[in-house]
Formats: sequence, structure tokens, C-alpha cells
Amino acid sequence: MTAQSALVIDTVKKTYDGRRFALNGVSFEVHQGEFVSLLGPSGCGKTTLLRCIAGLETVSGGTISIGGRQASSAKSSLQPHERNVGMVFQSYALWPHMTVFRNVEYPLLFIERDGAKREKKVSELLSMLGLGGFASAHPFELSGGQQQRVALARALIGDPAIVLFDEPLSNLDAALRDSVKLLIRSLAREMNFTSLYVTHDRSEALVMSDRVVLMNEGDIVQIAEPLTMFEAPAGKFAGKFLGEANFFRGRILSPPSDGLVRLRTAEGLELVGTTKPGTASQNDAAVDVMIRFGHATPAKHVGPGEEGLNRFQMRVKDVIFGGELLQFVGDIVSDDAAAQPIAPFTFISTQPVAKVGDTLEIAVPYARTLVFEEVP
Amino acid sequence: MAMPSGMSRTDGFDDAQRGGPRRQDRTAKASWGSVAWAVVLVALLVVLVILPLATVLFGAFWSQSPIMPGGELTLDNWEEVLTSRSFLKGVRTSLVIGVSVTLLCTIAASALAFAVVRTNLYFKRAVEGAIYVNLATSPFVLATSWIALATPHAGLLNQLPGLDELNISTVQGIVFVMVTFFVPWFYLMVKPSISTMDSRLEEAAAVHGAKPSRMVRDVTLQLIRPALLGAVLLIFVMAVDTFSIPALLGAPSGITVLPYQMYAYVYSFPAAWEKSAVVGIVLLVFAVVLLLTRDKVVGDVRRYRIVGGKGGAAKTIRFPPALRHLFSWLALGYVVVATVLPIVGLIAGAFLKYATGQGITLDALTLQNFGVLQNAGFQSSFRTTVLVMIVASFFDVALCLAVTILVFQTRIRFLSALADLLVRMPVGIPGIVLGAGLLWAYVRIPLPIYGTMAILLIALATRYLAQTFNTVSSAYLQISPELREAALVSGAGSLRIVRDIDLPLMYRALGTSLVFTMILIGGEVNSSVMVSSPNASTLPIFLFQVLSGTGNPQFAYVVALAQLALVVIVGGIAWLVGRLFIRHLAYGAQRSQNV
Ligand SMILES: Nc1ncnc2c1ncn2[C@@H]1O[C@H](COP(=O)(O)OP(=O)(O)OP(=O)(O)O)[C@@H](O)[C@H]1O
Ligand SMILES: [Mg+2]
Repeated sequence: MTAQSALVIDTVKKTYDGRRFALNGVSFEVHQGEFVSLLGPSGCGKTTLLRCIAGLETVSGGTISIGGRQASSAKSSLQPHERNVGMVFQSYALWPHMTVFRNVEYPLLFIERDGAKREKKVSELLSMLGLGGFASAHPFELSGGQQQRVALARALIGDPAIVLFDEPLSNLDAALRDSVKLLIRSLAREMNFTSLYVTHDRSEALVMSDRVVLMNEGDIVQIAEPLTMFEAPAGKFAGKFLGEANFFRGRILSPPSDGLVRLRTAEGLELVGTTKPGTASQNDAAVDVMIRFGHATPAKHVGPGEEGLNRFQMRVKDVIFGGELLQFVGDIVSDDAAAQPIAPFTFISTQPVAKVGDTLEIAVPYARTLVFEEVP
Repeated sequence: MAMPSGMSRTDGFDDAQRGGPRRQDRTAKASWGSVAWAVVLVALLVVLVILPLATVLFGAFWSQSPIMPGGELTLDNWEEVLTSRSFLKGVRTSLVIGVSVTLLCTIAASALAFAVVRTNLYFKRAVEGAIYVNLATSPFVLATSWIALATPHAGLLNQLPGLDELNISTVQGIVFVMVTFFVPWFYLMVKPSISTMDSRLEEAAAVHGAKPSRMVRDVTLQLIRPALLGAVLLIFVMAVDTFSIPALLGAPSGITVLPYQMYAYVYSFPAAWEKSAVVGIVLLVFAVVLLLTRDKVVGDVRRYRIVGGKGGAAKTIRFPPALRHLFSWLALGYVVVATVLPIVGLIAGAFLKYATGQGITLDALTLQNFGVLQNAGFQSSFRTTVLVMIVASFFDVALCLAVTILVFQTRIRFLSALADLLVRMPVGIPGIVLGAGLLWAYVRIPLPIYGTMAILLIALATRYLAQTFNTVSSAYLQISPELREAALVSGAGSLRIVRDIDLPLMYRALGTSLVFTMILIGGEVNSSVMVSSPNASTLPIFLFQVLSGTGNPQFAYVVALAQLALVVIVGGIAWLVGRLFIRHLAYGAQRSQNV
């Protein structure tokens, strides 16, 4: 445990019924002032972990320490109010019978006896969040975005060691979601609070966090900075979850050298790809190959003598306009005159580089052709 | 108001929407404080509910009345009672009355509910109003007004030209009055399922070629069948268990139902409490079997819940003008007969010197009858009634709130389940059995309870526990658990959360529940009749004594009016309190509770 860790999760396990584990022993740390996202598909145990940290659930194994103090173990557990955490709930959970001011003041009642000091602190925080004029309003008189900010204010008012967010944006519409995302991020920087942010939306995790903890079925898959996780996912699951990509299954043709392997896909396409260091791939080992939509380009757009590229022919069957990007959907086709379709393939571009029915050469750098050991 | 839904349980466990209530964690441990508290609650419930049951059960197998010394275990009581002719006759009368009441109730109440919810009937508000008025009218008040209206010869209706044959003291008369008494209960049980019905399902049937009559049979009836069956079974049980109306109207002419026989065994000479207990057990077993069946039927409701039934409120069926008028006037006719006439009858009866068979003339009018208001017995029973209404209903709501929190908030599984069961049991205990059990239990327990107001309080507090629990717990489950968790994370302890979050959000529902329980308690007969004593009896029991004793029967109408006035006062106060205090506290609550 390092001095600047606001939160240490150590091999935490959780079962609700004594048989099935919602958490299989997860470990990670959140440093002081850091913004960490807990990302994963529905049912992977994110909320469970968050509730264990808040003390709303007990753990079945492992320990949780908050601000250097042990808060949960299988044997003992601090009550939620002894933990010094703030929490923003999915439904905001604002108390409908209290004004905005009372909602935000409530956690202070248990810390600060001096009413005047409380009032000053609440007023300051409210105006900082642009809620100065709403102190005496009731929550139902506010818009969704404003309610969200009240919930945030309530979570922050007690200077918690860590602020826990459980999918706080899922009740907002898309446009508002983007602005609140940025608001939370800039507030976190400005006020330097520590955050653990649960979401199943990769764009939220990528945009907001200093680091992302990716979970699946009660296990941690990968912990990395957003860009690293996007560019160098730990495996097929991470690759798939972080962004859209083409996937092939294949077999190794020659053992890796300098991190590069030659392989043949099930459809018969020969490619060169990059493996993670330390991956022991012998000849004929089964692998998954991933090429992100954004990492394939028409060959005519790359410099002529460029090395280290996989090249193949693709016929475009459909062009989908998705706002800022065009998505080109089609098939990889055989090199010969027959141009037989081999495997489906998709890439994106900001430019209208092809029309429906075109056949064009595609180039993908070896470094962007990611090879993972196949998980059975 | 979901008051009469009896044993059906509303737990939030299937409510698994995102951010909604989470299932309970089976591995979590409970604190010692909460265990101690749970033990106290369960012990209290055992005293209230199990003690009287056990006493009746024991009494049925004991050779002596509990007031007599000595005795031994025996089956003789059973042989004597079950083979007696009066018992067999009682069974037959009870069943005839029970079946007829249930049948007529089903037809009248579901027709009214359907008409109000789904058709273009006129007078909908009058019908709903009448339903609530009748719900608040106690069974004795209703029966008393029909005595005023339809006693042979002297009854007011019999003064009308062409009528002189009406006789309320017959099986038909009893059935009629009981139907008007139970229709509101039935109505409130089936109405929700009719209003949440999604007419798109009917439209789907219509699109596929079903004729309207067929559509109603194939789709509409299927959808409300569980609620309907549940109501049928509950009303059947309640009708068979009713002492009040048959006793008042039928007993004088020798029509005796089983609950009356229980009463008669105890209050005849020599008192035969052990035989009364046998009849009690018969009634109890009957009720339990039917209510368990009902739980099974109602348990299936989920299967019928309309999947993805957003929007699509039930569509109004538009009758053509002729039919619309016909049905509207029929409904209004029901309102007049079931609600208006009894009140008119009471008022008229209160102002008449005596019942004549000679028509009504001006010199028959008098204020003399109001002299009963000076009567010491009346005054003391009025005071007692007000007192027990207030004390028992507040006690009930508080107890049900505590049990609700135990059941839905703590992690003590065994005690929670037990408390949940115990608190819902009284709906299956015939009122007269409860009263008898308490009487016999406390006659032997050397505490100042037997023959005092305490026993009346205990009986009345126990009687409507299940109904009160139902409303209180469903109000509690309306509150999103995240609101509590937010307070917990903010630093509030459990009691503080109840005070700061739960109570303010429940004020309105608790108030409604309180008023409802209070009104039911104020008119209660079936249990009170057993535990009342000269020192402590309620207004309904005083009324019973006036009518079955030798006093001037015209007094009874004044007493019944006083009873009605009590209900009006309680309702009025509740309305005022609601307007002045609760409204601003609860505003907005609905909106964010549904998030
Ligand atoms: N109270 C409970 N009792 C039993 N099982 C539970 C309970 N709460 C959660 N689970 C189970 O634990 C697992 C993890 O659930 P959790 O709510 O933590 O998922 P999540 O990652 O938050 O999913 P979502 O994105 O849908 O919110 C699921 O399989 C769920 O069914
Ligand atoms: Mg979740």
C-alpha cells in the first residue's frame, strides 16, 4: 500500500448466495486525485464492487482500504458512514422532500456542528457548480442535468477520500451526457478529488479517466490508460469492448521474431501481425486477429515505398454515413480475376474514398494487425 | 387504496429494473441491536396472534369451560357439536348465505367496476362515492338502517303504497344487506386489475377476428381472472365469518349462522365455551383452506402481468345511447338502494316516535329519541370507541411500520419471515374466533386485561393488522432503496434514516392507512362482541344491546347516526390535516419515487 493510495482493493471476492461469485478476487489501486473508471459489460460486477467499497455490501474475501484505513474484510466491515466516501447514484437518489440546499447540507450534519459554517460551505459549492440560484428549489423542479449536479454536490460536500459514481449519466439524453461528462472531468481536475467511476459505456471511460479498469464476469481483464487500452488491448475481449474492429481466426505460420508473426486466417488470407511480448506462440497455434475499423486505409493513400503493410483487395458493398465518419462495408476478395469474396471487412474514413461496387486495395500496418492467443 | 387485498403480498423482489431495489444479500450478517428488536416484534406478534388461536384450539379439546377448574383433554365436544342438529343447520345457513352473497357480490361489484373503468357510463362519480361511503359504514349501522326500512309492517318502505311485504329478517334480507356491505370490498379488489388492463391485447384479438362478446370472454376475462378469483374466495370467507349482520337481522327469527352459534354457546346458560371453540375451529379451518387456495391463485398473477404493457390504457367501451341510459340508471339505482336509502332510513327512524303500521304522519315526529345521547351507557361506549379507534389504529400503523422495516430492510431472515407471516395471519382468523380466543386467554391470565378496555384494545389492534400491513408495506416499497442508501453513505444511522427519509416520504400513505384502520376499528363487531364487557364496550356493541334488549328500538337509529357521525368526523379531520400539513411535505414525492 503506497502512501498516496486513496483506495486499495486487494483480492476482493463477493458472493451473494455462497455459490456463484460476482467478484472473483479483484485487485487494483486508485491514487490520490486520480480518476479511474470501472468499465465492463452488464452483470460483470461493477455495481457490486462499488457497493462493497461504499459499505452497502459486505465482502466475502479480500480487503478494501480507504484513505489508508482498512474498511472491509470478510471478518469486519466499517459502516458506510464511517468510510468517508461520497456516492453519486444512478437515479441520483435526491430526497424529494428536501430542498437542494438541505440535500447538499445533509452529509455535513454529521460532521459540522456549526450551522453558519455549513451554510457557507454549501453555498460555495452550489455556486461553484452553477446551482447558486436553486438552493431553495426542490429536486423535481430541476432539469436532469441540474439534478445530476446536486447529486454531485452532495457527494463532494463532506470532502470524501473518494467519490464513487454508479453510471451517473445513464438517465441523461445523449447531448447532455457529453457536456456532463466534460463537466465532471474538469471539476475532478479543478477540485482534485479522487474518483471511481462505474460505467458500461466505453466512450465515457475513455474520455474521462486517467486509468481504466476493465472487468468481465467478476474478473479484471486489464488495467491501463485509455489510449493504451484502446491501442494495445490485452486480449480479444478488451479489443472488442473498447472499439469496433474486424476479427479473424487463424493459425501461426512462423514463430515470432521482433514481435511479428506470420499467420493464415481460417479463410486463407495470409497476414503479418504483432503479438504482445512474452506470448508463446508456436507454429500452428490458434490465434485471434483484430484490425480496428480505423486502422485500415485504402493503399493509394499510403506513401509508395512504405514497408510493413498487409495488403489485400476489398470490394465495397455498402457505404454508411455515420455523421463525422463514413463506414465502408464489404468483403475481402481473392487477388485473381475471379475476385471471389473471402471474408467480410469494414473500415472507416473521413473521406468518401470509395463507392458501392468499387474494388480497392486496402493497407493495414503490421503494428495495427493485433494477434491474440485464442481463448477457448 | 389497496387495502382489502388481504394476504397477497407485495414484495419488491421482482422489481429488478436498473437502479431499482436489489435483491437481498443472503450472506450478510445482522447486528445484535436489530436482532433484539426483531425478537421483541415477533414476541409481540405471537402474543397478539398466536395466543388467541392456541387458546381456541386448546379449548376445543378441553372438557371444561376455561373459567371452570379442572378438566381433561377430550374429543367429546367435537362429537356433541358436530352431530347436533343446530350445528348442521348452522352450516347450511352459513353456506347458503355465504354462497349467495359471494355470487351476487361478484356480479354487482365486477359489473360496477367494469362499467366505471371501461365504459361511457353516466354517474361514475356517484357510483365511486357510494362505494366509499358504504366501505366506511359499519355493518351494524347498515343492518340497523334496514331494520328501520324493512321491518315487516312497521318498516318505512312498507308504508309505501303497494309495498307491505318487505321483511329484512329473512335469509334473503340478510343476503341483501351483506351484499351491499361487501360490494365495496370486492369492487376495490378487482378495480386495479381492470384499470391496468391493456386494451391493445383486446385489439389484437379483434384484429384476428374475434367478435366483441368473444373477445371479452377470451381475453378480458382471462386477464382479470386471478384478481377476480382472489376476490371471490376472500369475500366468501369474509361472508361466512360475519357475525354482525346475520346476528342482528336473523337471530331473532331463528336464522343462526356459525359465528352466531359461537356467540350463543358462550352467552347462553350454562355457558359452553368448549363447544363454541369447536365451532371456532371449524370456521378457522374453512378460512385458512380457502385463503391458502387464494394465495395460490393470486400468486399466479405474475404470469398474467402484461409484458411490455407501456401506455395503452384500457380503452373505453362506448355503449349506444339506449344501452348507455339503461346501464347508467341501473347503476344509479344501485347507489340509491345501497347507499342513499339506508341513510334516509336512519335519519327518518331517528325522528319518529315509534314505528307504526299506519303510515307516517306529522305528529309521529319527535326529538325524544335523541335523549339516548344522555344515556350513561351510550356516553361511555362513545368515549371508549373514540379512544380505541385512536389508540389501536396508531398502534397498528406503528407496529406495521416496524414490521415492514424488519421484513424489507434488515438481514434477519428467519425472524423477518416469521414476522411477515404473523402480521398477515389475522386476515385468515374469523373475527369472532379472535375475540373468543382473547377472551379465554385473558380470563386465566392474572393481569388487569379481562373485562377491561385493554382486551378490547388488543382485539381491535389485532383484527385489521393484515390490511394495515398491506398498505404500510406497499407505501414503504414505493420508496427507492437508493434514497436510503444515499442517506446511509451521507452518515445517517438507521433510526435517523427512518426519521429523515422514510417517514416524510410516507406521511400521506400512513395517514390514509391510519384513517382507514380507524374507521374499520370504530365499526368493528365480530371480535368486539366477544370481548366487550359492561365496563368497556364500543358503540356498535351498545347498538347491539339496544336492538336485542328491551329498550326503545327507535334509540338505535340515533346511536347508529352517532356512529356514522364519528366516521364523518374522522374523515373530516383527516382531510383537514392532509390539506394543512401533509400536502407540502409530500409534494414532488411521487415524481422522484418513480425514477
Ligand atoms: N443482491 C443480489 N443478490 C444476488 N445476486 C446479485 C445481487 N446483486 C447482483 N447480483 C449478481 O451479481 C452479478 C454482478 O451484478 P452487478 O449488479 O454488480 O453488475 P453490473 O456490472 O453493475 O451490471 P450493470 O451494468 O447491469 O449494472 C450479476 O450476475 C448479478 O445477477
Ligand atoms: Mg450496475
